[in-house]
Amino acid sequence: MAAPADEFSKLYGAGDEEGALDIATRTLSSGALFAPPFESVSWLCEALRRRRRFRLALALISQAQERGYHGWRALYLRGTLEALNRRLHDAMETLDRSLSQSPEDKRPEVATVLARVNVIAGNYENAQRLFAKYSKIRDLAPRTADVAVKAAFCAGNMDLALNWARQSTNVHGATAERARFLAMVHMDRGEWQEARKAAEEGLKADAGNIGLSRLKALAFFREGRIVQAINHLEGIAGAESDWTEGKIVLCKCLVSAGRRQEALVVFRSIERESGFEEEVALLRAQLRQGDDPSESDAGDVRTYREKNPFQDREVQHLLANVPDDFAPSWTRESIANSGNIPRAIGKLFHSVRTIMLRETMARFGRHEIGYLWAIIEPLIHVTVVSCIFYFIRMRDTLGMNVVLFVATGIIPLFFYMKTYSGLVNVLKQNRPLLNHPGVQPMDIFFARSILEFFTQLFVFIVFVVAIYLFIEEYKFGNVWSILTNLFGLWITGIGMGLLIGSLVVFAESIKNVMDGSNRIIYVASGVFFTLDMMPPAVAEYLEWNPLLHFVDGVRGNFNPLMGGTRVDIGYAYVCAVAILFCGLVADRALRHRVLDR
Amino acid sequence: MIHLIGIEKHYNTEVGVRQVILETNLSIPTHKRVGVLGRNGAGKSTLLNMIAGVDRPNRGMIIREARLSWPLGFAGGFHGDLTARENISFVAQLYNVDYEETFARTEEFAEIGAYVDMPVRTYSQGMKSRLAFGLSLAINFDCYLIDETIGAGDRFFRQKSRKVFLEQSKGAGMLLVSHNETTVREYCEIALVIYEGVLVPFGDVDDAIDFYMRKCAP
Repeated sequence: MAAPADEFSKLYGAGDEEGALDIATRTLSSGALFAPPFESVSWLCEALRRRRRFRLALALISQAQERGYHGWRALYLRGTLEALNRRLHDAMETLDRSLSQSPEDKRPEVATVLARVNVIAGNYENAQRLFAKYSKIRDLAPRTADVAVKAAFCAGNMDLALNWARQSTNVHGATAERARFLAMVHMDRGEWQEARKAAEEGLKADAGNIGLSRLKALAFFREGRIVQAINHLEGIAGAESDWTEGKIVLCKCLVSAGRRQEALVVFRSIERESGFEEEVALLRAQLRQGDDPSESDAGDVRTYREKNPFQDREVQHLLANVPDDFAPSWTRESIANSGNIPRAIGKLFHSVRTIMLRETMARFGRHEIGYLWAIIEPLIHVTVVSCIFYFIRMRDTLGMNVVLFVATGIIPLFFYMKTYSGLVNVLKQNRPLLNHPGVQPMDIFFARSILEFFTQLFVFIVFVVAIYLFIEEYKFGNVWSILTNLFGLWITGIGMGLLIGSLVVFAESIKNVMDGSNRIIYVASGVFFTLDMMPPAVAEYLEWNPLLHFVDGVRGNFNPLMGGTRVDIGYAYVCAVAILFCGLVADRALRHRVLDR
Repeated sequence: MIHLIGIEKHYNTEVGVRQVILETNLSIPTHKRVGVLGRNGAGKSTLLNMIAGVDRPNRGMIIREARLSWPLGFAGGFHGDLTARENISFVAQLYNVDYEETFARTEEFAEIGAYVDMPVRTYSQGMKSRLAFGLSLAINFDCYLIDETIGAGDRFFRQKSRKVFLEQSKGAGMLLVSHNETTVREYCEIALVIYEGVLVPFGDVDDAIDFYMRKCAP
């Protein structure tokens, strides 16, 4: 009886593994007792397992155990083989025993197998516990890691599944299986974009994976990217596919994209399917309705809530029977009335005037010096710059009084600067005012900019009169010319304020950039020089600055020598109006986003 | 009447479009006491803000055919650098009402005494909300907009304000926005429930509360 075993040992010892294996296989298949030395049992089991002779291997280990082959390794081998023979219950028991007997450093190996068996048997919680206790996910083989993720996912522990999937992906890259779970976790949480990315990652590893393609298409649909969803679904959920859910989603997408004919084709193939009666009924209703105008709105922002409230029967019923109190009751007249232009203008005047009064009062109240500050600030500027001129480059003012030269540069520029800084934040500051139903955002813009204009005009008059009285009796030019130029500076300020104030929705730092640019504008806009003073090579570039033309235009009225041949008010006005136009457009396009923030 | 004509509101957030109110066509009566019920974040305040004019709908328009108040007790509209007197005068002018009378009525309720000539920024929170509440009541509106703020201020103030408000608003309508069904049951005749972005109208408050309890706040 011991002959095959001896022969086996001889061959194995001589290194003829094939021959040894043949003898073992033959003996075991005949049902005879086979008793190789214990040292070779482990190898033999492994060899048989590799040849997929699981039953024989199990018989072998059972016999060896009867002959006294004990210890954790025997149990481990037996458990593994039991699992491979689909005797999951026994396998779990055996492996459990093996786990408790095994030395510390072998436990992760045993536990991993036990956990995998648990997953196959559907004991996800146990498996998850084992993985968590004994294994380092990053050290597991990719396929084992997939099993761990599946265990956590099926045990309902989404955070853990997500964490494990990420850990393993970081080390080994994505696998299709793991990506599928990752995508499912994200779908479960409503993170559609994440889900789609996970699915795409997985498709890189396995381009033909149907589950992942489906998930990706569904994620597109949930994200509201209908066109992409249709493109993906058409390949995998066409009329002859057996994936009913996909076909329903495809049909929905086609309906909302307005492709009714195609939707009908898909719809016919799902009409008879069972298990989705409610959805099918809804689609039938939508398709019967035909071209609902609200559905054909192309390029429309359409988001999908998790629950579609309109699918709720009760809501449908309630919305179909609106009580008299709430029934839409507007008429053409009520709409016409609300757009009544004279009345709107009347209201505008009223609230602009009121808000202006309020701002004026607030300026008086803020500091002890209140409105005086409006004078003091330009006074400081004029004094400092005049001193610089007086001591350093007196000759450059071409005989004009230095203070007059500086004042007629700085104060006009203030029309631009102050209007800009007044408008750039105004809507955010005064947002609470909009709670008064009569107040519109435009009222606030108007009030602030008009107030700024008259404040600066007042300052300007104070300065030129004071200079005339106390410093020099100059020859005064044309009032209209001055006003036209000041007006140009003012509307540039309004345009810039609206423009930058709106663009901050894209980046808060735009405001800082503009504040910096305004310092440069201060230097480059005729406070320190006129266009004619510059050498032609430099003037050629400075000419582009519309503010310089306006400032020069104002100054020309205080000294005939300053008029300048290069000043072009027409060009400056084109620029100013263009900036104002841009500002108004930006405000109109972005105002609701400014207010939402 | 407040006509909501085809309005729709969404916010573009960093995580995507958040649809707050789906397309709605309704007229809200301003001579009745209307409750708006909805869970936190359902869009109640957005609706109120759109009606007041702070927010714009992304589509559609809102026509207000009545004299609406600002949200009752809302103190943010005061200019901190102005005194109570000046703030009251601003509001009185804005709504075209008599300043003296408005001031007297506000003062009677707000009881801020010598502080009327101090800038509002120096007021305590309680004083500010008393002032705001008093001012809302001093002007006769057709319809009061209320955002759960009936209870602003201290305990005494709460009882008092409730009493004064109910007396004052007799005959006037109101639009009360709340997530608390008992408040709505106490004050309102008809109601809207915001369910998943849809304004669901109810001619009877109890029906509305029943629906709200089942669908929105189970």
